[in-house]
Amino acid sequence: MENVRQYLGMKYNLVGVKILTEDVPQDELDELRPDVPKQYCQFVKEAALGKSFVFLEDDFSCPSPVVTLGFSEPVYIDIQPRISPAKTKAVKIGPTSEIKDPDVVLAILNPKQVMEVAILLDGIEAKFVGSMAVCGEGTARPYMENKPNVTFLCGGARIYGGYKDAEIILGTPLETFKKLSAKVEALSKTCGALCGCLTSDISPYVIEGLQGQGFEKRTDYFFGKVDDKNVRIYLNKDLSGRIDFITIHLPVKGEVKVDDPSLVVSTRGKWTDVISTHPMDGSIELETGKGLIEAIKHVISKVSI
Amino acid sequence: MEITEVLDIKGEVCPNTFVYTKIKLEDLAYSGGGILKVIIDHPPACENIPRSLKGEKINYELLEVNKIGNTYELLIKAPSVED
Repeated sequence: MENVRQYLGMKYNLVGVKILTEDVPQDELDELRPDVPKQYCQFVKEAALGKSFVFLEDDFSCPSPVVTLGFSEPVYIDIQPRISPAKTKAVKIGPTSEIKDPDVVLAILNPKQVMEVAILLDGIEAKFVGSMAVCGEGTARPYMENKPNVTFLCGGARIYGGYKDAEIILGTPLETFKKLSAKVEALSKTCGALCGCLTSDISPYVIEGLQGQGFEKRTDYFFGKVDDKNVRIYLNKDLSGRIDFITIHLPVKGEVKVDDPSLVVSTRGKWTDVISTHPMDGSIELETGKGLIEAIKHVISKVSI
Repeated sequence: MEITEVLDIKGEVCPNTFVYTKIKLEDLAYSGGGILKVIIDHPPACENIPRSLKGEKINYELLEVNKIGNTYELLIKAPSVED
């Protein structure tokens, strides 16, 4: 899950929420029950900053989570969204590193980050009214409907919970969050795809090394000619920004035969792209260019028209 | 039943509904007590206002919850409290 946090550049921890329908052992209550009642949204913010809690029904200073989190059935009128039937005995929250198999994962995000998640999940439907927000819209709704929801919080969260104006919460069932994490993981290994990371923040030593081999720096790749063939070099970074893979891209006009199963071949209109990926294991040294031309020549040698 | 004061907070949502109600009830309690009629149109407030009164030091008493069209009226008794 941490890869999602890194990918989005999140300021806060992801918060795991576990709805417990069994009694919690006393020693765990002694350790994790809050000292004073607060609003659920306040506790979520504190969990996002690293604390863990176990709540019972009496631990909330706001009445909404008692019903929305399923501690108690409503008495006078039905309230939605809420966890029903109301069998909750305790709720455990904390950073996802501390909560095993949470039911719901909460992420405090800004709109751009929600947009990025929506792209990865092929869209998110948001249902919100600005009331009972973190407990109902952010936690109960994903729990009951088993799909993510975005809440723009409520007045209580904004005033008492300490949320900034640009902060909103994405509540996600665990399974959906795992899918999101897998997609981010796949994205980090797109060395075979021809979309390189921007070259603007690459070390000048690497740039000089590649230039020394005859490659020009472009926006997201380096371009050069080897044996009179056009060659592009993509430097693919991992989530922490380190160069993780090198991709050699040889575009060839027309159909080609490739005599090396390790090379990826794809067609693009009249062009055939032959792609070779290389981990940063020392076989190619970017600073000196050692091994690079040899690797490119190997690719060229395996391609015949 | 004689209504002492009316608090019309249609258009407000929680938590404002129960925050405004508790402020008004406290005023009423410290000025001789009485019955407050709270008018709301945010349904969850019917649950949240009574629940929010449970932890208060002053013993407020919920007398009635009535649905009237698209609004709800809560009658709450505030005892007289001396400063």
